[in-house]
Parts: sequence; structure tokens; C-alpha cells
Amino acid sequence: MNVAAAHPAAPAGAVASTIAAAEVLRLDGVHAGYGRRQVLFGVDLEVRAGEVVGVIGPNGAGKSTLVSVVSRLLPLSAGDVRVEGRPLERYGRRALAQRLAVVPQAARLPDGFLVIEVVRMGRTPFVGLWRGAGPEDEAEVERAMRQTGVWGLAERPVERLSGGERQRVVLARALAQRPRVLLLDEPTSHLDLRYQAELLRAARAAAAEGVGVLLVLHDLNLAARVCDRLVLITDGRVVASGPVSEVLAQGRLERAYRTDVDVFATPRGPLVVPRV
Amino acid sequence: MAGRRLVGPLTLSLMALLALVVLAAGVGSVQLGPAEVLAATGRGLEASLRDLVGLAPAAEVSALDPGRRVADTIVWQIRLPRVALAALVGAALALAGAGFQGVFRNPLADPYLLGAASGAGFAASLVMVAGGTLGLMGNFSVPLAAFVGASATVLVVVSLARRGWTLPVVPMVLAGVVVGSCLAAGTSFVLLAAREQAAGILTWLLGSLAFASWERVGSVLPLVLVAAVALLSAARALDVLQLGESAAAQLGVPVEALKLTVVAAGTLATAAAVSVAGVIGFVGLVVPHAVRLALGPDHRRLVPIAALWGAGFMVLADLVARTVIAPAELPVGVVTALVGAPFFLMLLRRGSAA
Repeated sequence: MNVAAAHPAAPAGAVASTIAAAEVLRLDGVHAGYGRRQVLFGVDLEVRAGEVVGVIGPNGAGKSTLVSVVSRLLPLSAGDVRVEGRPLERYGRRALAQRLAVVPQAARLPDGFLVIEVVRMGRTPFVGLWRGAGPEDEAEVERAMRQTGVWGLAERPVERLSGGERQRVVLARALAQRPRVLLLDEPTSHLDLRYQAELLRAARAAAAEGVGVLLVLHDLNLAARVCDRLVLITDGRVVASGPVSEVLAQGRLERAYRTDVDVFATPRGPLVVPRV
Repeated sequence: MAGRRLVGPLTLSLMALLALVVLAAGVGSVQLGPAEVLAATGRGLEASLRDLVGLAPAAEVSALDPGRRVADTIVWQIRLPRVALAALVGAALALAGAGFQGVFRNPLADPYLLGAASGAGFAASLVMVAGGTLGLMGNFSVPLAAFVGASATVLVVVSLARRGWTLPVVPMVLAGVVVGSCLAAGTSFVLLAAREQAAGILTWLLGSLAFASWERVGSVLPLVLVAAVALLSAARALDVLQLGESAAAQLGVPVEALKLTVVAAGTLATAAAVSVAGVIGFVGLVVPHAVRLALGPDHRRLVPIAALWGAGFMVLADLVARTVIAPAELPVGVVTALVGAPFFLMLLRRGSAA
């Protein structure tokens, strides 16, 4: 794993100096829903190049809807989503895929394909109908695979991967798109501690290279470790947004999650534990 | 770079197919060796080309010894059209199967999933009951009816399943099953009502290449070529589609246009095959499956090689169909089912064991 080297031990604040970096993703007053059922009511947030922004909130708060909206699977009913300053709907399919990559919650990896073939699919927005992947595409594929630590698995069929390896392959495919914005939807669910750490380190490494990362997580403590800023969503609205220690405040979390919690200050940031 | 090559398997498959064609053209009531088959083919081709450009037949043709002339007739007029048609039909069905399995992301999909077979069967049986001819179409009446029946059925299924400009997969399969069942019931009714034509209709429904001719080869070839080019150009996008529709969309694949293209190309190939050979089962299901098992799921190899293997399998199946109980013939659909069904069961068992 060379991802550890790409990024220092304490993530939070490491990129704070680049706060003046370009805004790569911006949501203004986003309303969206399914038919008559509105889920999001005026969500604002922005992600700058090089930072990791975490989206947290209770189940049903609208985190997945937010992901669908930003990945353009669900139309907005009001508001505005901009990628690199340009409204989402003004992008062609390929142009958007060259800037925005998504790691979905339950990514399918089709049986029989080799790891490198799946990662190469990340170059789809850059290759033509008949033209195969060129040397520069292959270089991007190798870079993404090394960054996520799956280069050694290149020739392995995807059905023979562990859960953690699969998720890193999906991340490698997203990074092969050379995105400006990387959207990760619960990428660590079902992963054990080591794989959680490996995956999040790889996401941080991508941010260190200037990608703006939007990370949806339900695990508040993981979010606290990996994110530069947090956005807390409840009932389709942003109820808090800012530095990790500000958002993870006891009263605020108790109102959002409707349960009592303890928040412990630790040298590596806050630690949230529900009272049982 | 991962080394999954196309040229090697493609060349080998092509050579095997040509060998099968020469073998099949030599076997029958009159046995001919490969050299005789090739020589007769060469002379047949030359004569046709001369005919095409309006030249007089080569001088030595009339001087040929009678045995040779018989061999030429058997190879060029009787066996080769049939072998070529078998190859085309097999390639078309395997292409359609590969396309449908890719678009439905399901290895159990086959070319008849959207009702093409039932539509063709119903239309063809109606025409056969009506006397086998439609106005000026003559010998082409049944093929034309089958082609229109197959395409129209898929069109109905697609328009029943579509939601606006999108084509959801599950409703499409359900609509295919429902419409197919209706038309199959219609065909059964026609079979019962028209007793004297029932045997002919049944033979057609089971699939046969007995009515092969160069004209039929010529009428189907362009359709199959168009479908093949469309499917080949969709191959890379079909690979990405295996990640799921939303993941493919996020990678810039025009998912709805892709589905429509593949369904249209698959239907064109299926309708072309059914129109000249009736409903031949299992080829479109088993051949792409076998290629995937042998060479992997990459559509840029799966599509062209499935076409070649489908052609070869069909040539072989038709050879069996016309020789095992010679001088009588089995419907070739019976042979493909007899070979295909056990093979498919084996695939299923392997699949569930994995």
C-alpha cells in the first residue's frame, strides 16, 4: 500500500491551508424528491478542490437523495447544482463524467471481468466508440490502481475479490475518471476496520491531489476522522455545517438523531457514542 | 496491460467454421471430399460472377464430364446455399442472444425473450393456412410474414413497456412474456383449426433449413450484417452497462439509446433468422453462454466470436438434422434443442454450484 505515504497521519486540518482553492461543487437551495414526496428542502453546500466534506444525518434525512441529485440520477425540483461553476444540466453525459465520479453504495461488479477491465471502464468518458484505450488512458488506469492499492490484483476476476478489495476497485474505477469531484456514498459499509481505513486513506489521497470529495457516511466517528468539514442533514435540510468539532456538538446531534449521546473530546477529535 | 486477445480466437473460430462448411457441403447422399467441394465451389462462384457481369459461361463448362457436373450442381445449387443459410441463421441468433443477454444483464435471456418467435409463428401459420402465398410475394410470403410478425411483436412489446423515453428492463421482459403467450395461444388455435396444414406449420415452427436457396441467403445477409455492425459498435458500452444502468450513465454511456439500439439490432437479426428458418431454439441462448465461459464476458470478443460459433453450431446441427435419418430429415430445431438442452442444464448446474 503506497497510499499511506501519500498523505500524513493527521488528516483534519492538513488541507486547511488550501481553503482558498477553487470551488468544484456547489449546491444552492436544492429541492428534490420522488413524485409528490419531497425529500430535500433547500440544501446548500459547497466542496472545494482538495477538501473532504462529509455529509451526515439520520436515516431518511435525504443523504441518498442528495447523492442521486448530484450524480444526476434524479432531477431537481428547484435550486441549482454546479460542477466547476457550470450548472449540472448544461453538461453533456461525457463531459460530466469527465469531471464527476461516483462510488455508489452497493456497486455491482459483473462476474467474469478482470479487475483491470473494470477499472478501465472508468476511462469510458474519454475513449471513442471504436478506439480502444490509448497509452494515456492506460497510465491513468495504472495510477488509479496504484493509488488504491489494487494494482497487484489487476488480472484477478472480480468475483474472487474480498469485500474490501471490491470497494477499492470501485474507487479505482472512479479515480480513473480523473474527476474534479468525487462522490462517495457510504463506501465503508460492510467493511471491517482495516478496509475502512484503507478506503478512506485512498479517498484522502485523492483529495491531496486536488479532487473535491463529498463523502456520505453514517458513521460519525469515521466522518470525524476523515473529513475537513461536515454537513449535518435532518429532514431534508442542512441543520449544521462547518468544522468537525462544531458540527458534532452534543445538543445538536441529540436533536438531529432524537436520542441521547455522549460526545468525548479526544486528541484526534470528537468521539460520539449513543447512550443505551 | 491485461492480455485478452481477440485476433487469435477470432482466426481460430473462422478457420473452424470454414472447415465445418467444407465438411457439411461434402456430406450427404453423394459423398464429396474437401478438394472436390472446393473445386465445385470455385467453379460455381466463377459461373455466378460471370453471370452477374453478363459474361458468357466459361468455355470448358459444357465440356465437363457428367460426374463433375453433378458434383457442381449438388455443391453449388443444393448444399452450399443450405450450409450458408444455416451459418447465417446461427450467427444471427447468437448475435441476438449475446445482445439481449448483455442488455438485460441476464445470461438466461434469449433472442425470443421479447416475443419474436411467437409473433413470427403466428403470422407464418396464418399465411400457411391461407394457402402459403401473399399476392405477388410468392415463395417469399411465409418468410415475409414471419419477419413482419416478429418485428411487429417486439415493437408492440417495447411500446407497452416504455415509460416516456426510457425503456425499463423488467416491464419489457414481462410484456414480452404476456404478448408472446397470447400469440402462442393464437398459433395453437390456428394449428387446431387447420388440420391438413398442421404438419407443415409444425415443421416450420420447429425450424428447418430445407427451403434454403441463394435468394434466401441474399435476402437475409444484409439484415444480419447491419445487426452485426450495430452490436459490434455497442460492444464497449455493453461492457460498461454490466456495472448497472445508473453506474453506466454516470460513466457517460447513453443508456437508453444503447438499450434501444441493441434491442432493435437483436430483433432485426432474430426476425431475419426466423423468417427463413422458422423458430430454432437454444442457439441464441447457449452459444453466447458458451463463449462467455470459454473467453470471458468482454463484449468486444463475445459478440464477434458468438456469431462465428453460432454459425458453426448451426451448420453442424443442420448436418445432423439431414443425415441421421436420411433420406428423411429432422427439423433442425429438434437437433439444437436435443444438443442444447442438456448443455444448458450443465451450465445451470455449474452456475448454481459456483
